[in-house]
Amino acid sequence: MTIEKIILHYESKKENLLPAIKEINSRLGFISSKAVNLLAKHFGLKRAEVFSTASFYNDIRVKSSNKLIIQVCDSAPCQIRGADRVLSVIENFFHQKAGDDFNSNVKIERISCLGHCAEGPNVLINGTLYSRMDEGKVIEIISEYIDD
Amino acid sequence: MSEIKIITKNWGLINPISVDSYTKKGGYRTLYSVLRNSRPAEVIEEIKRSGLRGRGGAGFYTGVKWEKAARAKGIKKYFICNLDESEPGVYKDRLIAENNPHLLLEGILIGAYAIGAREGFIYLNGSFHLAKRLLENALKQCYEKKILGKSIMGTTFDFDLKIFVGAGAYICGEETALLNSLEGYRGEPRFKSVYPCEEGLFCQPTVINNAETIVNVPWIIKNGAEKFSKIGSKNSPGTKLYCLNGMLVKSGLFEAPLGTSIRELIFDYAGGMQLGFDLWFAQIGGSSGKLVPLSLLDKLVGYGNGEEISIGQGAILVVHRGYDIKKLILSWINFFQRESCGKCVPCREGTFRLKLMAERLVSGEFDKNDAEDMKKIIWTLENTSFCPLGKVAVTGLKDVIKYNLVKELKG
Repeated sequence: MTIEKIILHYESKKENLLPAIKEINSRLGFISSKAVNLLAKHFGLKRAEVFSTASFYNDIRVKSSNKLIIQVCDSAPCQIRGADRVLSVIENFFHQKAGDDFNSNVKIERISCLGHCAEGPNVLINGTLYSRMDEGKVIEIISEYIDD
Repeated sequence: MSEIKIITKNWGLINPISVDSYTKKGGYRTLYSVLRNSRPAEVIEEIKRSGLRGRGGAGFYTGVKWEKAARAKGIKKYFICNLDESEPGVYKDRLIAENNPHLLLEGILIGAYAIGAREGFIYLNGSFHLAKRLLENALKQCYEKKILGKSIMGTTFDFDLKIFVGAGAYICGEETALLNSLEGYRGEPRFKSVYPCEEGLFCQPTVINNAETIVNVPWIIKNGAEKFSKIGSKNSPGTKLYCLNGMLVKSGLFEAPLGTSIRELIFDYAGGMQLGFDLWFAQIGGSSGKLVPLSLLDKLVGYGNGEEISIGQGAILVVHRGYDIKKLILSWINFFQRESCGKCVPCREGTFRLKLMAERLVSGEFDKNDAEDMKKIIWTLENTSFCPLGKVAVTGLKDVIKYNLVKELKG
């Protein structure tokens, strides 16, 4: 029901496809095959066309999302300020490598520049940006997310 | 250090959420006088004479682009502001939108008037949440004050502006990929048989300008092209926003004229290296930029002839002595492998192979055959990629080989 409601806010124009996909993604966490069907119907497109757009972008997920998503920027400016040390501390904490899929609760990812390079290393935890991270600080923040 | 400030002049002095605080500093007066007193062709002529060049990295002449779009025939024309900034190390456009969003809107309106566009978009990077809120607020105020919408400021000029938020794809900063993304397709680049200024969004003439280019426009119109062309160097006039990153005393954003030397930027503007860190080399223009060793530090930056080092989008990354450059190589390659859109084979496969090699380099399993293969892949990427992404993915790596910074790569 909610997906249909979201879609109804958008006029059936091709330029509204990505904004609609983005809103569904931000409300429900990912684009389900049900959402793809409904979007295709609303915009008069093939399901493959909707899916090809949805699967292209980094911010849009096409698999059900994990409870805790930790994204570490590993672009050059953050790397120079020690992003790899921060990442390896996180990997050791969860006993899980960046990009691994086996844990349905936690996902660790390497991502590209977020545009806060002067304050690196930057870490996104469930979409919230944390700047000027180091090995100690990042674990302190992560433990706030998992204490229950 | 020169004190000429075009873009950052009122940063911190005006309140970005209030249109009144912008108009008090003389905002929208240039737009008013343009709409009342100048013909579109005169605006284009002024921009052409100023020699303003695109600040997105390529350095194409803005006036020429506008003139082409103004002359092109179409049912409707579009003006797009490219704010999909995702090059590692660049954050100038985000800060423009966060500190003075109305200056950006004024520039867009003047540009749209000059080319005869009735509709426009701001293509915003998906991770710029604050910039999005501020721009949405600024747009709302402009519609209320009749600066946007029908009959702007009592004239016959109509213009609608919308914000289109991207979803995290580096390639969407490339203008034809941006157009595909706006139209709801995958953000893959198009074949440029015709430039977007003749056939762009929905096959209509479209001007796509970087946000920093646009914010120069009100100043040029107000103060005249002559005054603008005197700032900076002969081939690349004006000032530029530089983002300096790395272990610097004051890393961050600075406005300085084009034609400043790299040494001056690093040591005078950013205050030099932090205590205990020694400058080894600098990388100019984000992860897709060239390396500059100490011997070339006095070269000037710009877009012009071979004498100048191309500044690109304005990022300067300083690397300190003792830093493990193999990790830096892996970081470059990782970035381009992730952001390659997958449209053409050389880029999709080449960056993937390079990534495996870079991982071997870091773990110490890199051998002579790898070094030879790497050269072949670099050649292929440079010469057969569909769009600039594949070409610039190996700029840094090539310079590492050229300056012999890693002995394993010598082959």
